[in-house]
Amino acid sequence: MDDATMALDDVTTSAIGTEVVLGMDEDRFRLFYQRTSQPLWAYLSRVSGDRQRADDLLQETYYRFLKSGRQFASDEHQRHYLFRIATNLVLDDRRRPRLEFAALPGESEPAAPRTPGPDVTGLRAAMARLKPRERSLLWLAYAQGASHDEIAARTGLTSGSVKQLLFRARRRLAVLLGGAA
Amino acid sequence: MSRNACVHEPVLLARFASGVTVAGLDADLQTHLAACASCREIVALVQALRADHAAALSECALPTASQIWWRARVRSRLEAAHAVERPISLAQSISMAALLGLAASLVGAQWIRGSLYRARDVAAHVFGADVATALSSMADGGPLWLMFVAGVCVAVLMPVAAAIALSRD
Repeated sequence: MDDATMALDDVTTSAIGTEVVLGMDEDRFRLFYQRTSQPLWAYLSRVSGDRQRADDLLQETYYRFLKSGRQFASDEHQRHYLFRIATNLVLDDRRRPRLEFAALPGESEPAAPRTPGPDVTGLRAAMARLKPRERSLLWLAYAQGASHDEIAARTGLTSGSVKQLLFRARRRLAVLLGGAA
Repeated sequence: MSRNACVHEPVLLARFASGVTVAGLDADLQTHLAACASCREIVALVQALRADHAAALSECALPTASQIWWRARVRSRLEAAHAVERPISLAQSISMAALLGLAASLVGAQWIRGSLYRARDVAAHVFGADVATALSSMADGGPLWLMFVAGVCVAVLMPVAAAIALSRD
């Protein structure tokens, strides 16, 4: 962390005179972030359909996770909770004002997206026509390989609902892709 | 194609989740796949979504854990500071409203009394002594007018002040 960020840190500390307590210490957070950030970003990116939005939602998701201060029985529970926050945020996204985060010193602009292959292009176009909830279920089930129970834990739905909604979403996507209908 | 989920679907998905590819599926499942359109549909979607998943992982440019951590701390502190300031801001707004209300009631009461005295003089010529006496007694009730106008000012200004203070959130 450079001088500018340290200085702002001091200012905000003195603003209230107390140390802010987040849900875990920085070292534990770093390990947790390394394990979860890539799949979380992929999930947010594909469910929101917007890479820039995914960047904002990623920050917001980790902020809410840290602020919650919850203790978890296992790493899986922790991960499910993180994805549940992300799911709520991304599904609620249209009703929320845009979050803006200024670039930090030394932070580079995001890389330009690669041009997707023809198969992926068709898939993305079809996914864009689905509801965010359907995209969420399909991504968790088929891209991330989550079971119905895991999806239920990550979305707040019941396992039975996941099964039904996922089946409908799968049918819709198959029809949109035009192959297996 | 069947409109119901195939009973082999959980097994198929569990194999994929454990990293098995289509070519690596056991012979029983391969045989089933050849006959089941629903399971072939799943295989096609899994392959397409996994390809997009790999593409998403390759294109993400994530901030570092330290950046996320630092932003969370700063934001948390700013929100905490804001929460501390909120009651102070509300009290300041209400105090200001009370002060304005008091000043307005003093000025307003004096203006109303003056108006009543002027009306009394006019009424004495036009309507006679009875009306003038009534207006005069109303004008003489100074503290009552002051309380009335102050009450009106407070009733109007306090909600406005509270709304302004809370709107900053």
